Amino acid sequence: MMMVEAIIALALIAVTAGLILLLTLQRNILRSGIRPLPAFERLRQAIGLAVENGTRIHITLGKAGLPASTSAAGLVGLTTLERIARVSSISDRPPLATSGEGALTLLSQDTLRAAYRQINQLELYDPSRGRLTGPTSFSYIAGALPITDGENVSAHLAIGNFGPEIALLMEAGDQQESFTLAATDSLSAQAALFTSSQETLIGEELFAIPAYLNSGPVYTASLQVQDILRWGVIIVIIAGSILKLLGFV
Amino acid sequence: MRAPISTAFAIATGLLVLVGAFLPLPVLLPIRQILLSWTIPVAATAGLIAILNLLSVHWRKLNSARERDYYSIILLLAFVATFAAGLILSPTDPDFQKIVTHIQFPVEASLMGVLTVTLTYASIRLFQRKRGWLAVLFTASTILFLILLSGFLNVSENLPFVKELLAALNTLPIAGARGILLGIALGSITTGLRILIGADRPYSG
Amino acid sequence: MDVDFAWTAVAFILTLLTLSYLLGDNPLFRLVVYLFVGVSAGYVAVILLFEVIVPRLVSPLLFGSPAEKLLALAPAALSLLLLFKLSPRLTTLGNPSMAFLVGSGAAVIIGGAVSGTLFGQIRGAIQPFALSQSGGGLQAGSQLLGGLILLIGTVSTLIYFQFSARRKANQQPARAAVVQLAAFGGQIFIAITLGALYAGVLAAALTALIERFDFLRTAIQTFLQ
Repeated sequence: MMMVEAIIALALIAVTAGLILLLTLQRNILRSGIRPLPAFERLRQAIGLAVENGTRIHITLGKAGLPASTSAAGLVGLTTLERIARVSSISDRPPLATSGEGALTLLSQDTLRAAYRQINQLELYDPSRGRLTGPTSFSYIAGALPITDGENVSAHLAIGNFGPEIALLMEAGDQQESFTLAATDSLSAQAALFTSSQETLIGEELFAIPAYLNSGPVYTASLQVQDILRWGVIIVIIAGSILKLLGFV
Repeated sequence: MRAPISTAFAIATGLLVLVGAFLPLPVLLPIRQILLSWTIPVAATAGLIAILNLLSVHWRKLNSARERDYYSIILLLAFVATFAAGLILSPTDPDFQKIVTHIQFPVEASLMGVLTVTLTYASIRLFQRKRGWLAVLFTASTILFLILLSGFLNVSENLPFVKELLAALNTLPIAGARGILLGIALGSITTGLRILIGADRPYSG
Repeated sequence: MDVDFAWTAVAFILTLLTLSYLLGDNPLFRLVVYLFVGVSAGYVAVILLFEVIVPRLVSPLLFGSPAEKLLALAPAALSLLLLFKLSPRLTTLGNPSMAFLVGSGAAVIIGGAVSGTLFGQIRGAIQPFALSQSGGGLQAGSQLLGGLILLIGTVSTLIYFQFSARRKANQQPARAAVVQLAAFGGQIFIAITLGALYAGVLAAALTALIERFDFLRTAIQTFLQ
């Protein structure tokens, strides 16, 4: 990497971190809200119904290991898991987290434990509710299939990095008349999920889940920063294209 | 404050690896490489622990009076047989490799094959789930690109403007994919930074 | 019966039982699923042990030079701490090891997103406007048109994801009209992109299905000989 690019990258990272902190601490600077997304309304309803009916919510976190550049989606899945574990703590059946990678499995157990400890209900924690269903891409999905009809699940949320085979799990969940919602950073999996899940969050919408579930001010601030960066990227692309056309770069 | 030592550890590690990636300083580069090389055995240990967790879940299912699952015995036996064979033969042994070529590959390829029917069925039901012009455009695009992938239109590439038209059609998904990927990159940056500023602590259980 | 014949028979039966899922979930498919997960877990455990744990931790600690021993100490300690994750009571002792993985993971995520995707895709979006490298005339015109489609598609798709919206009294937050218009264009590109990707996934899955049917046919021929 060239030195100029490295400096731009570091500056971008520092400014982004600063903006997240600033907008977290000073929430009303931008005076803007976040646009409504119908998928989240249905997700909130599904969580409420699961708590009311004593059914389980299944969150599957994908197969990307740590450290990998594709593991951001799994981290968003973990934040969602924590939020849902806290919200559904009064339910008879706490949420179930599955994954296809070792570190992600241990983190899902840690996340569940942290959620219950924060609400002083550590006795609810059961390590088997954060489990590996298979250590390879297909064995992970195959191992998760029996959950669709065996654990009293009413909602399947696929939030992480998947291959297109995730469609098998979503379709199986749908056939059991469960609510299905999917969000992933993988393009081919997004395409497969567009038809096989009831609600599909496209691309960047994945990273909006914690903010839309009211997980905390830092998540709303992150979304606002993403929007600021978005316009920066758009300006750079348009300006760069014009300069390229004119032969300046 | 939740897990202060672990948080400090995560932030320090992350910053060293991140700065080492962008600034080619002689001090930072080897530190970054060493830290990243350490993650490999630690992640492998996490993988082994998670596999033990998988086995314990199925052992409990087998012994649970309420949710007994007799299939779990098959999983446990298959694990023991494969693991023992691997220990005795070593993973590079051609006989051990046959487990991959004759058990794992057939099941994976067949599941991929099953996906054909699942996706076809799902696309038929798409209009029940997602009404509106988006579903119509998605379906039209799928059909168009299936025709393009089949090579059916290759014969007409010599006709005037057909080649240009096909090239323009192929540009459309590239533009959309680029926009989606850029958006995902923005989300990934903020997600990673939440870890580095200590706002997200998935390890604090 | 020779060994290869037996292995082909195993693959044949597993293929048939897996494809039985096309008729719906059934006990035979369940049997294959559990067998498959068990075998995969055993295989991955062996690989992790022989290819990672032994050469990167055990060998350097037992047989390595003093420098190698020193370098292997930290990952060995982190791995040992992780073993506490097996105990629900002592699980917190493994948290620093998980923090180490998450911290380095966060750095890799950011590095990949900035230098891999962000810089790479921006460069890719600008590149088609380098008309001086094209032959000129019709070719340059066609390149410029392609670049413009790419530019409009990329920008409108990015705008589609805009989350921030203006708050209005007694109304839900809404984006400005011009942003809504661009987002509509972005939706068109997203639908076309997902359709094209879906076609690719379908084609790959269909290829796998045809390959499996071909395997079944060849296996039956072998059995009949």
